Amino acid sequence: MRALNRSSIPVWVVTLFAAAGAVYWHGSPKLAYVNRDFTTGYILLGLMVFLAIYNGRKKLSMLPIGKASIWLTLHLAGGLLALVIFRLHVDSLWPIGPMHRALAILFYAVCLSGIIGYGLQLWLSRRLAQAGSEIIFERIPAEIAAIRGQVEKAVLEAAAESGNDTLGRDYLQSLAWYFAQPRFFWSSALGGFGRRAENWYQRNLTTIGRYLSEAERARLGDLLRFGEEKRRVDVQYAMQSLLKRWTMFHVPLAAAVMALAVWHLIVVQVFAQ
Amino acid sequence: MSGGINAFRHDQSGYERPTLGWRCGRAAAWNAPCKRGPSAQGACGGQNTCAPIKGGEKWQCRRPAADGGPCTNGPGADGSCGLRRPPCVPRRTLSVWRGRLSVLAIGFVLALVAILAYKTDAISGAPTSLDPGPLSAPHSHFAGADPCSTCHTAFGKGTSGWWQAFWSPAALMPDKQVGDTAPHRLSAACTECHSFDGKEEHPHNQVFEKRADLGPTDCLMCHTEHKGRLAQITKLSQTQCQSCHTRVIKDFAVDHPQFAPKFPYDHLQAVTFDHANHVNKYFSQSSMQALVPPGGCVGCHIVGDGGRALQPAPFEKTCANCHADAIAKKDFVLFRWPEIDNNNIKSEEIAKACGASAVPPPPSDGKPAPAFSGVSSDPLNAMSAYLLDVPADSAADYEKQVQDLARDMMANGADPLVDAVGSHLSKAKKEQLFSGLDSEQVRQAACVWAGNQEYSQPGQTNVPGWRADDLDLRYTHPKHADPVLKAWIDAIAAAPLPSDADASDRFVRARRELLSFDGGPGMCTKCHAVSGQRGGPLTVSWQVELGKSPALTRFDHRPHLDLLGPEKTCTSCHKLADTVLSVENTGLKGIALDTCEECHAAGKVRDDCQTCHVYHQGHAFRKRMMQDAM
Repeated sequence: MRALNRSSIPVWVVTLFAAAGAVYWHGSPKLAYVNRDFTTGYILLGLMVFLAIYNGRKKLSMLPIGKASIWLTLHLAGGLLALVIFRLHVDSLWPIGPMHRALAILFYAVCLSGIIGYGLQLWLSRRLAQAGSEIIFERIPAEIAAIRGQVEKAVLEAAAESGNDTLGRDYLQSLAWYFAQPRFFWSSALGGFGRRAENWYQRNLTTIGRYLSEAERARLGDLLRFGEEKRRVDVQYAMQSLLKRWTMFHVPLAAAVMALAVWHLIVVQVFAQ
Repeated sequence: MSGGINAFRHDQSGYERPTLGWRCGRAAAWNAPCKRGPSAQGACGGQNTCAPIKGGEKWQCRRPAADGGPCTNGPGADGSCGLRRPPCVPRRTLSVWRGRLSVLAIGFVLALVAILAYKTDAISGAPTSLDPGPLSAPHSHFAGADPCSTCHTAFGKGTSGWWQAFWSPAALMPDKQVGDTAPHRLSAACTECHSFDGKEEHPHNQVFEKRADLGPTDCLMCHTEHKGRLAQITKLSQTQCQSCHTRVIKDFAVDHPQFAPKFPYDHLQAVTFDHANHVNKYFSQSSMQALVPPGGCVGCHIVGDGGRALQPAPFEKTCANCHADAIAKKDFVLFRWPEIDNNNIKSEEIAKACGASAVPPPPSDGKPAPAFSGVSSDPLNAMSAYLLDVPADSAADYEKQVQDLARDMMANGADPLVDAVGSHLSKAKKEQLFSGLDSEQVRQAACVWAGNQEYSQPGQTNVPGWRADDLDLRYTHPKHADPVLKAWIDAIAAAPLPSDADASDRFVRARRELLSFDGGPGMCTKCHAVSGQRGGPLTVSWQVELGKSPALTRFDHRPHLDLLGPEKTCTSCHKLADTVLSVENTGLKGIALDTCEECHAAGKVRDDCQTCHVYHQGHAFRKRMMQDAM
């Protein structure tokens, strides 16, 4: 899902104008003696609340409150605006004081994780399309179980047809590891679409092939096909896992920022007036 | 992919609910999950393939079509599913773990805040959740059990104090600051120690009547703390200045308005010194070389102290070489026995007051006494006329009062004179005016003058001080900064103008004589400036007051002297005037803007507003600080 497309242009134009206006307002001589820290602080808090609503919106998908792509655009635009307001509020990139610095670290961490997450979303969505197969993330365990069942069925049929257990023992000793669950995670997610997995099962089956009887060898083609199917599922699993799990950093960090921001608000409201 | 895995029909696939809290334990172990999935409470829902329903007398299998439709076993007699499986252990979904991590993060933050909130010992330097950062160096030494409460009134007041501060901060302001005197609670804390010449909430501590648009200010508009020990919390930006000063000054050399023509000598200098005349006319004479203080400008001005203005060296080290003798030559004549046409003082009166020896002897040749001829031919001097409050033009106008004064002086010495200076002066002041005056000598002189003779003072005649001699009572040989002479000049200069026209005229004459810069006693006003309204009291500036104005500017000679070097560079800025006393009484030209621009310009030496201008007037610390510290 891309946040920069033709329909999102108005949002970005408004955001850029708002950011430019905020910078101009903050530097205006007319307001040089106005305490703008409170104003920028409350604007920033409002923006952070708005950004946090995005997570809640995903849980309320049944409500007609705008398309997910618009919400993503608003989330990214709001994040960019929050960065600008944060810079104006702090008046530097690295504030003074342990609590302020803790707040800044968390804020930057949230921004960084968000940027990385959106980058992953852009990059991995293209790779997922290139991977060629589609599968719902929650159905991957069932798919792996189904492939595994077909592999075991083929191995058993080969043993029954040939009267040899060479392929069966090889399955138990090595192939079962591959078909048990997703393997070669990082190679599948970030590398060459699970080439390491492909090399692994092809090398394994090619090696064992020399020791198989003719009847068993006839099943090798099926096993190679199942290995390839499993590799594609692994690629889907790895990429979709990354797309889901980066939020395991982003959302808790955002929650921590909100908590510390509320404390900061209380302290400032009590002591800085 | 395997058949049916991406199907989206109720009879072909299950319904994935990733937002629910639980997921199938079998799927979590990478086995085929059951279609029913866990319950909302996390119990395994896959022990039974279906939930049979009773149709009439029999239980009917409800296994979904996606699982193969009704099973051959069918439900048991008690309605239980005929295809039972061992239960799995459902696992939490990703969204639950994300929520848990979020709660954990919030909890961690709040716990950290709560733990560190109790560590409020700012002196130890330990981090606290209330610590907004180090104070600037000048404020970093706040001491006490609760140093934070020095400024933050809510500190140490517990939950109720926080609550009050959060919702109604004005309630915690010190009582004396409530209202329009301090719009900000922290500003009120600032002014507990800092004081200014004007009100702190006014821009530049003064009222600008033409700028009604200017609202009240508070300290935090410019000075924000907790920015670190090295933070310059007094530094202002050009933008801040221009929030009120609408003339945009981006470049001092280009945008700054020209200085006033007399700058910086736009007020009367306490000591009149014609620099141009002295340097060009006198100091260049070879005969004067031995008397001129060596070193050029620094021969007279003390550069060691530096600062806004360079204090001149004392009179004795500078001017005395040439001017000390001239001061000593100008006596102050308080009273002069004037020309008298008719002698009203009898010899018996003189004999009674002063003794028989004081009566002049009759002519020894037995001839009758000649007609009376006064010993003095001078008119009454201006000071005597003022003190006696009589016209000085004709003897007929004043001789009675003068002879009455002589009678009084014969009896009481100097007391009549002391009484004559006026009742508006205090006793101490009168004692200062007549300090050193010998009342007996005055009495003796009066006895002689009453006898129409000149008085001859015994002893030395060149001793500084009061003396009666010939027909005068005078203060002789004054020296620089003579206290008696200063007291007379101050008293007469500051005396109120009499309402009567004749008396006023006599007073002005006496004052003019006393303050005359060429003929006055001590010639004090030749150098010491006299200021005041015409017809009103006058003030003589005895002390050099440098750098008094303007209030919102500053200048430090020291870096300029260090940069340019002594002796030769003073006239780079302080140019001698071509005409006498061109700017006030200095003999110097005003300093033009381009003099400063030679160095202070973009790309050269700093040229921001604060280089020369200060915001506050008369910033000082309140006395209370000293009392507290003791």
